[in-house]
Amino acid sequence: MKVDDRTLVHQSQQGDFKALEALIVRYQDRIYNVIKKICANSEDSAELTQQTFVKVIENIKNFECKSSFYTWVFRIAVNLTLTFCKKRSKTKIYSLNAASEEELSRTNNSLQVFLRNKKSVDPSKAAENQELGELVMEKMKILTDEHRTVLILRDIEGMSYSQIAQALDLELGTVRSRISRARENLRKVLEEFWV
Amino acid sequence: MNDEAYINELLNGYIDDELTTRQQTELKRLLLNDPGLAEKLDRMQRCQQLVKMAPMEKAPDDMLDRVKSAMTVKARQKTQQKTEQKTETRSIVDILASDEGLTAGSVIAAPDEPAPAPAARPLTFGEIFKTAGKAKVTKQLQKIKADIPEHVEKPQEEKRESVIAYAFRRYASTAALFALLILLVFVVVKIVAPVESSKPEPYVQMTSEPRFTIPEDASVESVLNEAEVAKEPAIKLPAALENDLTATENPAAAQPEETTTPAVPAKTLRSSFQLNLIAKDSLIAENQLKALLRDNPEIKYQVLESQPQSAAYSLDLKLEQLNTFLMGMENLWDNFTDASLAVQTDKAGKPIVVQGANLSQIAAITEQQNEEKRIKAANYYAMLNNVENFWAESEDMTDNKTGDILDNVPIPKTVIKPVLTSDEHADTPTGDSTEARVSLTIVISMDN
Repeated sequence: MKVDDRTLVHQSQQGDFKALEALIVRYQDRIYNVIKKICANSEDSAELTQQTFVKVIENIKNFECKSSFYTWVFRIAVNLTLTFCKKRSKTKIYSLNAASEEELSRTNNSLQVFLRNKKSVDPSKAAENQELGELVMEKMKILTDEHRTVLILRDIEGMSYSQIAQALDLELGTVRSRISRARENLRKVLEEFWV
Repeated sequence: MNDEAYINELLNGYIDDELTTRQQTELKRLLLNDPGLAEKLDRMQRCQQLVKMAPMEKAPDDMLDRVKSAMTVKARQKTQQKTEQKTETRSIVDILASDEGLTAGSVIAAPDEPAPAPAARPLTFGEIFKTAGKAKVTKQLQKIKADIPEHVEKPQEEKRESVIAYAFRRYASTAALFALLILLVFVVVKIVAPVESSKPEPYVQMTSEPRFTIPEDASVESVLNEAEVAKEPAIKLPAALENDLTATENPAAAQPEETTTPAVPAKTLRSSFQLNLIAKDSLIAENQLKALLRDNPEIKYQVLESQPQSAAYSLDLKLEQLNTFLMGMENLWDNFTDASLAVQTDKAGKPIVVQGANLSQIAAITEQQNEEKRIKAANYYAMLNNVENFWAESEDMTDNKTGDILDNVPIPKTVIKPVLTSDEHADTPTGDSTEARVSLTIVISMDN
């Protein structure tokens, strides 16, 4: 039987390390995935995920369950990641994955076909879909960190607007407009494939 | 927010299922009217689908171990920090112990060790560490130790004395500070406090304290009897006049001048007036005054001074006599270039001086029914005569709109020498036994 977050948090606050482990295992992949999509580096993402959980352990006694544990842990992760991204952007510009020109051309074509033919997603073509997803992630690097973050939290993590507002400590209206602008920018980035 | 941004938000809200029913209806209407918008919505949905296609990345398998090892490292770092602090504390203990002739740990409790039982003593260094920050204090103590060239151990008694002296110095400095503050406040108050306007000193200096107190229910006879018993005069005269008065009271010492009846001292009176008159020719004015007094034999008076340049008369009379007397003064008034009236009542305390008073004002003040109204009237005329533009404001007062200042005081506008009518005398006081008699001192001076 799956124990809910609140119970596990309560047990963790009482010093139950098993409950703490259960929480980490429950969220580690999702946290890592979001961090990786924002900062686009496996090593850094692993380090940031680890730091996130260390912070969670250090502060869980102070967590008052006013928000859900889910949004709280994502808030820590996103804050750490965005801080990291800012520092990194000051020191160096990270490079895109060095894909071969041939490979890049091929995925671009797939994207063009997908967009022009107005095909719906075919679940049977998982590999192809994955390629397209990766390509879009590459394109999303052009977006600002804030815009990329809201799109990832919304479309990949599936958070509602209010959860995003909690996780990023923003007003609901700000989230709404930020998502709108982020999608508009992404649409413009992908404009060439529609032509 | 412009239309495009709003429509974009609607489109995004639609694909994220975050629209209200009203917004959904609005969007449907927009989509029906604008085919381009439907195309835009389709592209946005495709963008979303593409983002959703991104592969799910899995955390490294050893993430839990990583977290655990990170926590272990942190815990070790903390332990190491504590150990370092403990070592630092120990070194300080050693330093201090060597200075104070104490053994390590006897005064200072190491952070992890139980503190010694509290006693009446200065703070232990353990307590200082707690409050001031351990590392900082450690450094400061080491620095202090390094700076002191040689340390002379003081005997216990000397230490206690130094502590007492220190406490005394602190309290003394605090007390001195407070005293200084109080002095400063006093000086400021002295400077800031309003200074009373310098009024001309009345010819006769009047005491503010009544010679005797009159009970509310006292009868006229009892009041007068009690007043006559009083020995010291309520009105203190200047020394020069005091002699004249003595001479006047004692016929053997000096011949009294035209007294119809023995004068009753002003001390018996509740209200006193002093009328200072500046005459063109004081001799003429005095003679006319004497004539007026002769015409009113019922008025008791005393000659306080009779010089070529000045004269002073003290009158003791009833209120109605005073009004009659003032009516008689009307004929003399042309001789005077200026007049001021000083009103002294028990309630007022200090005399109220009405500068530039005319007969009408004087009569209006003296004929008030009680002491309070007299004070009000005197204050009013004092103000009236001093303020140049007061006439305009007095328009309202004569209409009786302001009410409480002067209910019964007639306000003169143009009349300098008013004629007192019988109607005005209808307001003469009735029934107030304590104010039945008044004292009027008339001082005539030559106009220079």
